[in-house]
Amino acid sequence: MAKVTIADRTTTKSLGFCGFGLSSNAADVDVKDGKVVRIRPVHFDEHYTREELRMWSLEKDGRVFDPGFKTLLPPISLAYKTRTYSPNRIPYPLKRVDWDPNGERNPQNRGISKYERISWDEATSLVAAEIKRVHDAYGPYSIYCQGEGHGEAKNYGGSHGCQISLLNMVGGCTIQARNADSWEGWYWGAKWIWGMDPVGQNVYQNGVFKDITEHGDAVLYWGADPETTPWGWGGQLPSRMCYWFNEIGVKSIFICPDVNYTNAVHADKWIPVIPNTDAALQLAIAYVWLTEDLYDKDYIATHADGFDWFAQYVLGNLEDGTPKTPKWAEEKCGVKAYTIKALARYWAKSNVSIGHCNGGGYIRSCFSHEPARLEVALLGMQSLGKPGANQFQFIEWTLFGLPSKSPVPRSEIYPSTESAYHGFDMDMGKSFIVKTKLPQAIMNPPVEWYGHTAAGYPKEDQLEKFQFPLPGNEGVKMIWSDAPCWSTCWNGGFEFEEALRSPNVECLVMQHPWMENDTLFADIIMPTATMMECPDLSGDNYNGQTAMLYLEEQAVDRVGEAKSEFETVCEVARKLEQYGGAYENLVERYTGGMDCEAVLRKGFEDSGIADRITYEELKEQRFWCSPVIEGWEDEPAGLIAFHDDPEGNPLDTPTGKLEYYSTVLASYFPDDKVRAPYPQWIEETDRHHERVTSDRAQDYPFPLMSNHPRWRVHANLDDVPWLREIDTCKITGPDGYKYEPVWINPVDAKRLGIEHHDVVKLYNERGTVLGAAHVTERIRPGVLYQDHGARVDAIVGGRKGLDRGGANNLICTPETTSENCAGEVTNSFLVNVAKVDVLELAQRYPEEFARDYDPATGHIPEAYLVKGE
Amino acid sequence: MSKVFVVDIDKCNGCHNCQVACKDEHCNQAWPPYAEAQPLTGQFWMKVKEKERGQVPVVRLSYIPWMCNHCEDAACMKAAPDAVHRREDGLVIIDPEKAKGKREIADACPVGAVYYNEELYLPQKCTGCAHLLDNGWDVPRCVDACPTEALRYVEESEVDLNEATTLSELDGAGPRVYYLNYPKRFVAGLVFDPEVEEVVVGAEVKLTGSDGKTLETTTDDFGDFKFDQVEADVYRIDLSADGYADKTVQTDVREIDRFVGDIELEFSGDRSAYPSAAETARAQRAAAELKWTEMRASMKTVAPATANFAVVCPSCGKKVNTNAEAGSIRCQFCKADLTELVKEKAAELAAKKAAAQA
Repeated sequence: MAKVTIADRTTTKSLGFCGFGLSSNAADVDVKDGKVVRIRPVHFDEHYTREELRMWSLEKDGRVFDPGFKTLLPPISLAYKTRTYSPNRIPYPLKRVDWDPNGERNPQNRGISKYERISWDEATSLVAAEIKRVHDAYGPYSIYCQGEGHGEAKNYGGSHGCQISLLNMVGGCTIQARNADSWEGWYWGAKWIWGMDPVGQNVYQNGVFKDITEHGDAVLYWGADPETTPWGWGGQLPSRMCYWFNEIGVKSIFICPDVNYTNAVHADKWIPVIPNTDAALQLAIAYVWLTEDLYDKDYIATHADGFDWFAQYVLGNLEDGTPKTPKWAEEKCGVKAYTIKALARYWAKSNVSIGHCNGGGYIRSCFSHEPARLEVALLGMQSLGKPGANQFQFIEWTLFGLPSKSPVPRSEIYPSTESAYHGFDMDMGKSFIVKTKLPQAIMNPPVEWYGHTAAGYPKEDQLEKFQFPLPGNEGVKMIWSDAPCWSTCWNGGFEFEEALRSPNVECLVMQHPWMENDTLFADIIMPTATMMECPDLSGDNYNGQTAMLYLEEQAVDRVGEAKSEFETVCEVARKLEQYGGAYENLVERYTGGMDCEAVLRKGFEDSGIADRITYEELKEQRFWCSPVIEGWEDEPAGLIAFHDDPEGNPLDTPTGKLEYYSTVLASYFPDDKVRAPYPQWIEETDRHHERVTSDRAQDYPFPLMSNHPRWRVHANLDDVPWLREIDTCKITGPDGYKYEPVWINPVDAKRLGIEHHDVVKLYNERGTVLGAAHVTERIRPGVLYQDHGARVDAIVGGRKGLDRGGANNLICTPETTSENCAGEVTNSFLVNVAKVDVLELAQRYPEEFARDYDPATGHIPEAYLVKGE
Repeated sequence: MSKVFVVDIDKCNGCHNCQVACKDEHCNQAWPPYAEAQPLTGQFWMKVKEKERGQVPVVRLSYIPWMCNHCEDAACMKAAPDAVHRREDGLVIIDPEKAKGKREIADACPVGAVYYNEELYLPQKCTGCAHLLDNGWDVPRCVDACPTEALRYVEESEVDLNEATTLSELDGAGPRVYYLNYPKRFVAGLVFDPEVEEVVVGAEVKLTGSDGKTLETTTDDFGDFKFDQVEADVYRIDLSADGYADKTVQTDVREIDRFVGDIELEFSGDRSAYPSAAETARAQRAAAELKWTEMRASMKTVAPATANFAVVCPSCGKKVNTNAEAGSIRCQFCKADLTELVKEKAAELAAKKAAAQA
């Protein structure tokens, strides 16, 4: 056959979605005729042999674990050209038609009124003028920056936060503090029993994959879904690890309410637990160990402090007087007493490790600090750190610059891209608002909370109180966001919509590539470019095979009038500097006088590999791979040093031991009965009635699992046509609309008259979201499941609203983890479900149901533009 | 030289990389003369079929990548021999010019792997990425994207296909896609003693099919048993355990896999003659403890692990977690260079440790 040209050129680019300058998912992008023609794995053997990289492997019983010699991309990376070319790209700058900075601003119409086209010149002038006006009228802290979050991992033009450093140059701003959403329970709870800053999960994971291979009997996947969660930031090596455990006979036990995507193909045993009742199960296990003498007393004597408090609580000898027997737990958690006992006894005679991504639903539920520290309590009773007994993660390997945080063999060098990164950094400055309290902070200030709340802050930070606004300051008057997804990602999106309509918010500026979610509430919208349209310097320190660095070419021309995030902020700076004074010379100050090429070069010089390869060589060969460190085979595994010698290798706690009773919590929060010095079962509080036994459960009987989604990365990728064709991603309703699946057990479906693929509503007193029923045995009876992060499609916005997209974060509780812990509660909250006649609903809201819609990708900008644009 | 596709269901994690990579290559992208463009949605030259099996709490998903089999004696070729041909490497290609309007090519396929493109009046299907193979690629997009080697494209001679199966609809057509571990049925259950509320460990379980053949197993530490990859059939399950009355349960897995339930066994012996579950657990733990002591003693002495430690950033005063191996490191809060400080602290801690061990 005649030869066909399959590509003009290839460039290696990051197709990861962590944001924060943490690039991953290295992919080779082929370009032909100016378009992305394919996205495919990087094959290391293009430049290296396995020997050169000292590529690692493991052996057991004649079987070999091979991590693979190409990047193990997930489908969300492979499909990405559809995001760059999405019909939902914002084509040019937009202004809300009834927002007039010199007249009526009509905040009450946000999310309702439409948009008209404006020029970049006009958009940036408006933004600059508003910044100046707010500075003069209220002060710099009245501008709130939403500049963090997951998304493209761009460095030069970071997806989030480019506006922060600009505003910090002209007086500062109020920063959105992203509470430790991935780690809540570990952060607010586990840190107080075993330290483990920065986030409360085990930091000492080196050698654990090998350790389990050699000594492990079982892995408990307690809420873990390594076939899903790693996709956004690392790839599919965890999948191979799970298959390896199956192959060598390490028992894979899944404790969770749902048959998640890992459970579905790897489980040897599934223990279906009611959402957020794991604490009862954990306490009952401890009860069995205590009463049957099945735990390591000697270890507790030398490695723990305050254990007796915990033991007496479990036995029922303290105030509450309730022994935490398996029978007691059965009623709370839905696991039969005989299974609880069997699990406890199996664990007591086996080498059991617990594997996590970030902990599953209960880590982001109310009172999440309890099951998190109870896990550590149990691990401690079974000689934590002995061979085969550790806590490890399938993700975040070496995150926070910690080489010890990797259960798989490490690379010799982890190249840094930090000095090429423009975007969110961890310094909250003076004025910030914890993300979970934003609606309240806007509508009804002041608000108070403990800690900076962001990941990475040490545990002592939780003891310090903060407030907004700072004394003498006005509240929020203007918001500049590049992360327009609060409504579908955080705690109570309908409440947030209400806040955005507050007259306190005089100006709402958003910059984003796609017309979606909170963008639909903006006053001014500036379109930004995707990673395909930008050059960059990126790495991949999270694949677990070999740490990489690569220079990215711009693959394709800018789509529409999009500018990179950095360029966008530069243009605003250019308009601002015309005001002189504090704004003088702002562009020069913001860019440091460096163009893109200069920044990338500097990033390379500071990367840590400049002595191993030149800039030109890297450009030529496209990517660089680190060899695996030598001697990893002999490294001590996990927490064995603490196990062998706790005095010589103390934990980061006041006593250096596992603190079953935290003296810090006792002295700083003496009245806190919910996060007490020792871990407990918490039934309900005045802030949270989310138990199936609560009075609210009469109207809203189903706890909702709202997981990190399978086919998205949070709010990203909801418009990918090739994923939307997959049954577990979207279900097409009778109206041709693609609904977000709601998993419901056949027993419940039958009782409620719901059939497979029926359009249904999920509702509680905060509002209603739609979905479509996926009748399945993958969810235990009495529980529902709908992935989080679907795009909001408001039929009725604001409190008690109605959303068609299935964005269930709209109806989460605005209340935080517990009184002194400002974490989010976005999982395991109560809802009810009912079949819905969507065609009848469409007659009640004809305009909203008739919005311009492309079934392949979803809503398109035309739906929100004034006709004729 | 003829390669075949080998699909190992036991290694397919359902990621759909193969399905998406195929779309990436062919949707709205034509590769003349090999293929016209596939529409953005609606065709699945590679499709991951999903099969949910069992009931709570024994539920499994089997994912079955499904594609054109590039049959040796393909029905589509027979339907239009001038428009469909078989290459030397075995791939069957529909000529995007000659096949125009020939709906019969799509209708002919026994497994529906050929799609008719209404806009282009053209039957379309998997090309095996022939345009890539002719450009030096070893394998098509789907195989390249597979993260677990569930999908392979290999020389027939290099793989053991004795246990492999092919799609029954293609019997006689010479399919070139071989499945390993194609799912059959499972029969699972849990055995417990309601009187003492304990699972029954070590119960003998015998599974007998309609042909009289039996399989045997015993319940594990959780009281569970599972017979996997059995034929679709009606089965008798005989349970017996020391001290308990025998029990028989029937199950029908001709249509679906089954978790038969939590099965009660009635204790008919003298409880005092048997150790309690707690006593057994203690004895087993004691035995395990001995093994652990032996194992620990036989392992190399542990060199102290590199500890993580914190330094206080001199610029912003915040505590920064780090490690002696951190190398070039900046304060995560204010970006100050902490490399020297970290080196100092690491040296200080190492000296302390050495002194303590002296």
